[in-house]
Amino acid sequence: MKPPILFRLLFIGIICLACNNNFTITEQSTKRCSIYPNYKGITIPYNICPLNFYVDSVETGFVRFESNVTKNYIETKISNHKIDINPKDWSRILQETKGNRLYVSVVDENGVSYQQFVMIVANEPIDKYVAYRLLAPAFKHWGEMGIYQRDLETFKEHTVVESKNSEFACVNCHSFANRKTDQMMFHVRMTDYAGTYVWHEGEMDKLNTKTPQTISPLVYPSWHPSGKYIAFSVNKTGLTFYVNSNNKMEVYDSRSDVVIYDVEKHELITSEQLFNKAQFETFPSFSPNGKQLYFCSADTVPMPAKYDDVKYALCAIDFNPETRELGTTVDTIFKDQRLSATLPRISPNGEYLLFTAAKFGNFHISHKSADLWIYNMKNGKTYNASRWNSNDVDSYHSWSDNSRWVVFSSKRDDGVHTRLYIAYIGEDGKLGVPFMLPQKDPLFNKKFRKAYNIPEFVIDKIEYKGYEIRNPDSAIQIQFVTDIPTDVTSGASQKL
Amino acid sequence: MITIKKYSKIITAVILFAAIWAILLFVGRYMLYLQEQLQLFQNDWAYIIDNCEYNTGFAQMISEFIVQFFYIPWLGTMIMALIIIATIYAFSSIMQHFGINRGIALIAAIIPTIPLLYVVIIAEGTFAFIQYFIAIIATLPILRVCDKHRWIAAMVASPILFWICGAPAILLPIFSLILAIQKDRSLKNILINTIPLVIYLLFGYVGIYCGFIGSLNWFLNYVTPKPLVADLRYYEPMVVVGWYITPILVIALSMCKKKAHAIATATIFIIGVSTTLMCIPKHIYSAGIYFNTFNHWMKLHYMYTQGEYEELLLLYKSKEPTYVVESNYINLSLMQQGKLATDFFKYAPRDQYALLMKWTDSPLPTAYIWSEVCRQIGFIYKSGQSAYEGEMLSGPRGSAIFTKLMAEAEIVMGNYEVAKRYIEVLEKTIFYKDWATKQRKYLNDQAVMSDAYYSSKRNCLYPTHHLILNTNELDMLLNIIRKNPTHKNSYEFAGIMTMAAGQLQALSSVINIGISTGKIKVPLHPTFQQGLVMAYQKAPALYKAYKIETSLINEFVEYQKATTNGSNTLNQETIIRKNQNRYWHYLRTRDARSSRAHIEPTASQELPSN
Repeated sequence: MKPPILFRLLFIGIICLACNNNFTITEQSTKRCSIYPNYKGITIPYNICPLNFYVDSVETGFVRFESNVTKNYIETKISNHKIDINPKDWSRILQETKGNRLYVSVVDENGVSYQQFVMIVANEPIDKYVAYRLLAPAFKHWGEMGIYQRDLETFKEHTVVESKNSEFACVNCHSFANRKTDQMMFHVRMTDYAGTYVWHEGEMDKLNTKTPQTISPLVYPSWHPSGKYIAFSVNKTGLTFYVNSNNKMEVYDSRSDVVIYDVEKHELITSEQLFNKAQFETFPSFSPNGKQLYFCSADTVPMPAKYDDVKYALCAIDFNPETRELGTTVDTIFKDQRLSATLPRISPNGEYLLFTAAKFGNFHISHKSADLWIYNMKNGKTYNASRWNSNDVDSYHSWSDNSRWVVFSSKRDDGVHTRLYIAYIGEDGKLGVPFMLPQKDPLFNKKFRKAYNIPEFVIDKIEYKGYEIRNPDSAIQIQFVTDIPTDVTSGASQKL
Repeated sequence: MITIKKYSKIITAVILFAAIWAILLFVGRYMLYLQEQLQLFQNDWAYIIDNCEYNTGFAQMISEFIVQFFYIPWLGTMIMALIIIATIYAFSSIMQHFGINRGIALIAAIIPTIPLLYVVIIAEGTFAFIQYFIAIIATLPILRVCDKHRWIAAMVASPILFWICGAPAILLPIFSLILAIQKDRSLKNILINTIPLVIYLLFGYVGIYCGFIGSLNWFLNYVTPKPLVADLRYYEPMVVVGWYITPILVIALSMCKKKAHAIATATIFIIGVSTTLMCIPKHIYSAGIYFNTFNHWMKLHYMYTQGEYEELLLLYKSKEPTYVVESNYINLSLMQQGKLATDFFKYAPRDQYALLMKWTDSPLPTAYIWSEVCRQIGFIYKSGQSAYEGEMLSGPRGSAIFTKLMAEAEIVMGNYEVAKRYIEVLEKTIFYKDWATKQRKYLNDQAVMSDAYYSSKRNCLYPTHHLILNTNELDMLLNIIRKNPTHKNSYEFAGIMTMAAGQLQALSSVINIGISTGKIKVPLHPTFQQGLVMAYQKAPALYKAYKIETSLINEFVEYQKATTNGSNTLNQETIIRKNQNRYWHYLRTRDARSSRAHIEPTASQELPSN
């Protein structure tokens, strides 16, 4: 015979009471605890998902997050060294602590609290999503890869496109106009699906971007803020390996140029300054007002023999989006013979230019010396973003819509697997300590064997479904329409 | 007699099991071992959840679970044979459910097993087989549900089954349909039952992706969206015919009142035998080229990875290796025994590719051989890189052997965080767990340098920022010799490589650099002395400096005379035969041999790759 319902409810209630954790701190210790990921002293947005972490020295106990404004706190138990914070509680405590500090106490099962640490909660939110590519940190072969979108307020990850949608081709270089998803693009390399896919006005254009005048199909992109143009580099790229170096592999350009693609007319335009045989031009990036095009440029040297002599400078050239005309002079923004600067990205408010610099070359994701650098557009000063950097690779970066957050990729975790880090820059230019992209399971990144690549902030959800590329329709052939004197061009028609 | 009849079912099953086990064990064990080498089943919740998240992932996981036991051939093949037997009897039982005679049902289930064995062994199709196995095992109980509820049960179970095992799940609704029609063959009943099935398969959510359209995808060569349809690449079309069409036709025809069993039997033999016969042309081709060759390579791989170096070398005591892959495994075994310089020319080498084959995009044997050769000669970075390439080529789940090689390379290079990651993965396996756990203690410099093996490899590392593209491979080896002259395999490999290529000047460089370190002393190894005898023919004064044995010099002079003399005398032949294992004889016959060296089996194009 089953016990009466009331009795069963009473029993469940007793069990619940028995299970209710009685969190008390009995002793304050000066000992420090080690946590993974290291979230100590970091600056976080108030709309970030819970920062679950793993406590090395505490198997069971609890963690208290206390707002220094309201003195309210939330507690979460440590089970098997891990915490799993309630998202609602977390969101509430972050809202309460906006612009202030959150004190974090790790307490063991005996009530002994380790030395507190702080998290600074910024006043500004972060963009809701980040899009990235996941692939094995491979050499020649990559297995499966894909482009995904992660909701930063939760742990949800959506698939945008996967290599299995295109016979395991390489899908890469996803890019968005103004961090919005109504205009986006990515490339597919190899297989019948190869081409550049541009999502524009609710339709997907597949482009054949190789022209007789250019040395390669289009490569590194940057959308014009108007959404009418995309600047691209065209690169004759080589891949080789080191005999014995932790840099492992080297990707180099033996030739490169910059061109601008007109999304509506399917035309390529450029100028002598961007298409110069005496220079390697690459990594274009439009300014937020769309009136300048920044890019990287280096003197040509024999490649790959002199691969470590290549030093890229940051340059800029005017661009008139109405007439499609490019300026005739190139301004050099940053040039240092000890450094090679790549990936210029200007904050949407136009205050800072963030770039990656390493000792040589342009493939900084495999250069241990790669660091993030900041060029202050107001005062013209350039400095190493040392608070964000590590001893390992710190590279590809993207700005949030409000110019307060940066997401970048770094190999600091284990030297091989690239992980995403989110960093804060205040109105006064002060830098916050960056933190690793949070995961539901704090040990996820210890186990995950793929690397994160090309993180890009986006403010809305990508509606495009990856499998839409599965029918390899004929591609639109784009046309190169600029006349460049052959003694200047480094394009395909010029034999070097 | 009565007793035999009583136990006839069991006896039949035992005989069938023994036959299948024997075939798997004696014909297919090396090919099955290959499957094991390219899998990475992990005893881990995250791995299980990850697998269950995508279509056919569950079947993939079960298949990987079984494949890991191929590491021990007798055990793995026994498990596989049991599963095949279970499938045969489940299938037979399904057909009996339709009123088919037990004997005919059993034969109908056995016949398609023959090409299925082919798929499991040669096409590495354990996964494909496990998909069938799950579909059939799941179908059986649902068919036994009462008439009233069967159709609903099948409709509910089908999507789940589609998710678990992919396309073979289509058997469930089709069998259910036939059973429903069998009870009442009126047109009305046929339409009532058929139309919902067709609609279900055509327009149902899961049906669209995993059923009818999914199967069509394979034929139309469309790329499949996520969720994936069952991957039919592994299926031989005749097996699909055998497994889908045979039983369905048998059942359908058995429903005819007249001569039902005769027609059914004829159908079994026509379709079943023809599917088997259809395998023959391909089988002859495969058995002749792919299977014989690749199976032998995998045998060498098995022997090498199991440490049977002596046994491997014995295989070539009286025959010459045909392919460079064989020479590579021979020389790896020699390196393991520290006898590369002593015995290299004994095994009919053809050229330097006998030491390291050209790269092809296959995990086995290429990536493994590259990684292992580089490990042996102290070129650790390249060993790790080749292992990673092998890992990528092994498939989406990775491979235990490559993960092992990667872990070792990272320990040597001092990248302990990454090494730890690989070790943790291997600790979740059954057969690599112990090795992985033992490596944990080497995750620091002190432990590495106090271990004889790891320290010898660590000492081979030399700092450089040179690109491979800009560096001569001999220069790399010379740098390793300079850095660690006591690393025997590096020195011997460099010397042998130059000798095999006939580069006597380079051999002198290797030897002089070795001697300059103070660790290599004269008199040199007899094989290298043979090289120097030839290198310094025009400067015999150097023979003394290198303390070259006079007997070797005399042998060479005698050989030279014998081979330059125009007429063939018995004495000359004896001298030449006496010099079969001498370097000068190798050099003289090298050109003729090396023309054969590059012959690769045509079927190498079919090597498993991603």
